[in-house]
Amino acid sequence: MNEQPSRSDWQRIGELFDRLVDLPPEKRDLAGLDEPPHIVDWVERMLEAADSDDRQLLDHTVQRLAGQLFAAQAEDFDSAVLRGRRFGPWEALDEIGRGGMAVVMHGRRADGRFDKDVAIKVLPAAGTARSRERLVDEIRILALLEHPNIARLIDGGVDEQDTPYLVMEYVEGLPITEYCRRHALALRDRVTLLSQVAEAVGAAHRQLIVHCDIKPSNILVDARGQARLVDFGIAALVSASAVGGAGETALMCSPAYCAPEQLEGRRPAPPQDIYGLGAVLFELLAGERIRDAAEATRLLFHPEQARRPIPSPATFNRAVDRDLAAICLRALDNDPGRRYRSADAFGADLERWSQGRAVHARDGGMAYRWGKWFRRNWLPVSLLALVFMALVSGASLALWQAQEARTAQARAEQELERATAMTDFVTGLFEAARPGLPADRVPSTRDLLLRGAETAETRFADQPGQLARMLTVIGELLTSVGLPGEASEVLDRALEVHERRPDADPGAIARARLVYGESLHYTDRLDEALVQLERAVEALRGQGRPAELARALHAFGFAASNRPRLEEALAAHAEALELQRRLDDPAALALGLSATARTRQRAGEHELAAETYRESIELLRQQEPLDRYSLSVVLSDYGVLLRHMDRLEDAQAAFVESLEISEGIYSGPHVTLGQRWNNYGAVLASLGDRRAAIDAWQRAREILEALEEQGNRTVLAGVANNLGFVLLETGQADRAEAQFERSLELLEATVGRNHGFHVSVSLNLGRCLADQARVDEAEAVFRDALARAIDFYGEDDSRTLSIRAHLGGLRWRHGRDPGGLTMLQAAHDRQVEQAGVNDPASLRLALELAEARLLAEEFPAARELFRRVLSGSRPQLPPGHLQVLRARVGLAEALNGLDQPDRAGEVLDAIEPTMLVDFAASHPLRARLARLDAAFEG
Amino acid sequence: MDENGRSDGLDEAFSEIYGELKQQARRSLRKLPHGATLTPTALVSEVYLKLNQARHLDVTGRRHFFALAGRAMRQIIVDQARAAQARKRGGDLKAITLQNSHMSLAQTADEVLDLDQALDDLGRLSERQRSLVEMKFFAGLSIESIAEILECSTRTAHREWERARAYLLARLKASQ
Repeated sequence: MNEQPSRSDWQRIGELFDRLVDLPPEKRDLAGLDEPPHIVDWVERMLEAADSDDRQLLDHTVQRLAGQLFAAQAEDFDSAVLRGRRFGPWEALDEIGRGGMAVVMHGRRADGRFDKDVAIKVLPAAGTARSRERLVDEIRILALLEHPNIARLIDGGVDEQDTPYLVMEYVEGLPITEYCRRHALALRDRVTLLSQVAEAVGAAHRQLIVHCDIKPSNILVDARGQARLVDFGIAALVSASAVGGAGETALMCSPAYCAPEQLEGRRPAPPQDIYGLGAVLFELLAGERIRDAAEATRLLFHPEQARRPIPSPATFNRAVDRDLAAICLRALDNDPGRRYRSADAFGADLERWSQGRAVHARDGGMAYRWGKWFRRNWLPVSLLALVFMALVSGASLALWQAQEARTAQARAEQELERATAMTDFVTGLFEAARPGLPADRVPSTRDLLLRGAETAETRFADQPGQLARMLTVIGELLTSVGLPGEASEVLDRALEVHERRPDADPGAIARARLVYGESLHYTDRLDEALVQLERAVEALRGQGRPAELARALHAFGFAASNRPRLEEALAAHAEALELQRRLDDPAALALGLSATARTRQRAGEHELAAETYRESIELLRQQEPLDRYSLSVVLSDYGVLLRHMDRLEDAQAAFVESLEISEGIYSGPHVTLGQRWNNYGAVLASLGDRRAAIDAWQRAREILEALEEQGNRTVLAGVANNLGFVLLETGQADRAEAQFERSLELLEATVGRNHGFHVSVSLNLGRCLADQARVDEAEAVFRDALARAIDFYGEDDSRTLSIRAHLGGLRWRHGRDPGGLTMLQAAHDRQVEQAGVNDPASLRLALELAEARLLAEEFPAARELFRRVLSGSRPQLPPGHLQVLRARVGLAEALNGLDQPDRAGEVLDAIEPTMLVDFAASHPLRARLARLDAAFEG
Repeated sequence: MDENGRSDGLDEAFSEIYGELKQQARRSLRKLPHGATLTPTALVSEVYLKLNQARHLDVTGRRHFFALAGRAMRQIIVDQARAAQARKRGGDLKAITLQNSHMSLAQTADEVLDLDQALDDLGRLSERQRSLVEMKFFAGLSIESIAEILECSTRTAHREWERARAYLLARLKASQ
C-alpha cells in the first residue's frame, strides 16, 4: 500500500475528492489531472471506496464489532479448559454455543456405548448459586418433556468437581430464520415449520412449563427440516412459585422477541410464549424483527416503551395476506388476554391457513367466517344477518307469487329449492372461491364481491327483483369492507333494476336507497347521499320496520350534519334514538348514540355529545362478544371530541385504546387505520409532542397514499392540513404552505369550497402566508375565508371570529388599517362574551390580542392578557405547548418592557431547552428568547 | 491535545468519562441477556444522561462531552480488542454465541485494531476529521449534531465526513 499523504497533500486530495465524488465515474477525468501521481492515486482509491456498497456499512460495522467485544467480555470464559473433561460418562469436545450463564459443548460418550453425538450444557466454575439452581431446574423441566420437536434430555447430574451438567440430544441445525433464508422457503413451508414449534410449545404448556425465551436461535432446524426447540435455561413452571420468580426472566429474556409484560417483570405465563411465537412468525414473514437492535437495547432500560403497536407483517412483505397477518398480530397483541388462548390454538390457525380454510385470528369461530365478510361500517353484524334472512324469505315470497297456480306440494318443493339456491349463491361466494387456490393467493374481498355482482347479473337475469336484492347485499358488503366507491356503482345498478319493475317492492327499494345513500356519503357525494337517504326515510315510515327506519334516520342525520342542516339532523337522530330505545338491541343503540353524539358535537353541544359517547361506549363494552370494530370507531370519535374540549390526557387514552384495537383488526393499509393515526397525531401535537405527531401523521399519509381512489381524499386532506399545521407551529412556514395547498386541492376535488373544512384550512393557509410576510396574499385568503365562514357558520361562530381576528391583526401589524386592532379586540370580546374567558377559542384569541398589544407597547394590557392565557391554558395544556410558550415569552417581554427583568427571568425559567428542540432555527420564538437573554445580560 | 491526537494527562474530564463509560458498560453487561448486544451509542447516551443530571452540563460542556465520549468509547473498544488478541495468543478462540458464529472474536479484534490505526493516521492529517469520525462512530451522533459541536455548517461537516469515511475505507480495504 502506498504511503501516508502529508497534511498539505491531504488538503489537496480532499478538494479533488469533493469535486469528483458527485460525478458519474465515467466523467471523472483522473488521468487529465495535473497533480503528482501519489495524490491522484489517493483520490482514486477514495473515490473507489466512496462508490462501493461498503460505504454505508462502515458505521454499522463499528457498532457490530463493539457489540461483539462487549459480548465477549460478558462471557469472559474460555471453554478450552472444558475440552476433554469428563461429565459422568460423557466427554466434552468443542464449544458449540453459550446460553445464559452456561456453555454448551459438543460431546460424546467416552466409553463409546452410545454412538450418537450429544450436547453437554455446563456451568463454568464461576457460576453463581442461582445459576446452579437454574441448571438443575432445567434438568427437571426437560425430564418432564418428551416431544419430537423438543431437544431430548439424555442425562444430567453433578460431576466430581460438583459442577452440574445436563446432556441433551445434539441438534445439528440452523436457527429457524437462517434455515428459511438459506433454503428460500415459501411462506407456506415457513408456516408449517413454525406450527411444529407451536406444537412443542403447546406440549410444554400442558406440563405447565413456560419456555420464556422463544426466539429464532432457540429454534434449530436440522437437515431433514425438523424443528427443535432448545434451551429451557430460563424456563419456568407456571404454578410453582419456587421456580422462576417474577422479574427474573425479564432480565434474561431477549428483548427483541419477548412480550411487553415479560419485560415489565411479570410472572412467566403461557401467553408470553405465544407472543414469542408471534414474534418469530413475524420475522419469518416480514424478514424483519418486531424490534430492531437499537429498540431492543433501549427496552432494557425502558421496558414501558414496549407497548408500541406492531405494524402488520404485510407492510414488509406484500405476499403476506390478511389472514396470515391477522394470525401474527393476534399472537402479538399487547394485551395477553387477547392473544391466542393456547399455543395449540395458534398452531391450529396456522394449520387452517395452510389448508386455505378460514382462520380464527379475527374474533374467532363462526363469527369470523361471516364477520370477515360482513364486517360493518357502523352497524352491527346482527342487523346484516337479518338482511340476509329477509332476502331469503323475500325470495320465497316472490316465488309464491310466481308459482301461485301450482299445487301446494309442488310449491313447497320449489320454494325450498329456490331458497336454497339463493343461500348457496351467497355462501358460495365465500366458500367456493377458496379450495383449489393456494392459501397465499386468495382473491381479495373486492374481486370476490365484484365477481359476485357479475355472476348475479347472469344468474338472476330473468328475476330482476332477486337481482336487485342481491346487488343491494353486495353493495352493502362492499361499503362495509371500506370500498364505498365500488359499492355505489353496484347500488346504482340495483336501484336501476328495481325501478324498471312495475311491481317493485317499496321496502326493498327503500333498503337499496338507504345503503346507496350511505355509500355515497362515504365517497363524499353528499348532495346525492342526502337525496337518497331522505327518500329512504320517507319510504320506511309506516312500514313497521323501526330498526331499519332508525338506521336510515341516523344515516340521514349523520350526512345532514355536514351541511347547514343541523336542526334537521338533530331531529332525525332524536327520532331514531326514540325508536331504538324501544327495541331490545343495545348494539344498534350504541351505534345510533355514537352517530347522534357526532352530530351534537358538530352542533357545538360538547358536554351533551361527550355524555352520549360515554353511554355508547358503555353499551359496547357490555356486548358479548365484543364488537371490537365499533368500539374502536366510537373510542376514536370520542377522543376527537375530548381533544376538541382540550381534555388531552383523556383524549390520548381513548386514541391509544382505539388504535390498539384497530391495528388488531386490519392487517393492511386501510382508510380507517389512516384515520386513527391521524387522530392520534392530533392529540400528540396538542400534548406538545410534535415529533411524535409528525411521525403519526406521516404514518397516516403512507397508509392513505397506499390506498388509491377509495373516497379517502378528505381524510388525506385532513392529514395534509395537520402536517402543515405542526410545520407552521415549528417555524417551517414554507413547507407548511405546500401541505395546506395540497389539502385545499384535495378538498376542492371532493367536498368543494363551500365547506367548513375548506374554510378552516384556508385560515391556516392565511396564517402561513402572514408568517412569511406575504401580506397581500394572506389578506386575500382571509377575506375569502371570512365571507364563506359567515355564510356557513354565521357571524358569531368562533371560527368566523378567529378569521376576523387574524385579518384585523394582519392589517394592523402591516400598517394597512389602524382600526385592525379594534377589529381584533372586538372579535376577542365577542368570543369571551359567548363562551367565557377560559374557553379554548377565547384563549387563542386572547393570545393573538396580547401579542398585538405587546407590539403596540401597551405593556400592562399585554401583561394581563398573557397572564390570562397562561392561567387558562395551564390546567389543560402541557408546559411545552406552543400556546403556553408563546404566552410565557410574551409575558416576559411585557414584564421586561415594564422594567421588571427579574420577574421576566422567573417567567422564562419554566421553559426547558427540551421544549424548543422541535422548533426550526428560524422560529420567531427562538429569536425573541435570544433577544430577552441579551437584554438580561446587558 | 498533542499533535498525535492523544490527550494523555491533559484532560481530567477525559479520564472521568472513560471511567464512567467502563463502569456503565459493566453495569449494563450484568443486566444484559445473552444475544442482546450492547451498543456504544447506548452506553454514551446513558452516561450522558447521568452526567447531565448530576451537573447540568452547559452548552460548551455538552459539546465537550460528546467529543470526549467519542474518544473514550474508542479507547475502551480498542482496549477490549487488545485483550481479546492477548487471549488469542494464549488459546484458540471459538465462536462467541450461536448468533455470531460466522465471525470469530479474533477477527473482530483485528478489524477494530486496523480501524484504530487508520483513525490515528487520519488524525495526523486532520485532527478535526478524526474527532468527527469518533463522534459519529463511537458516540453515535448525527452529522447535524456534529456540525453544531464543531461549529460549522452541516454541509461542511458532511463533506468532511465523506472524505474521512472514504479514507478509512480505502485504508481498511488495503489491509484486508
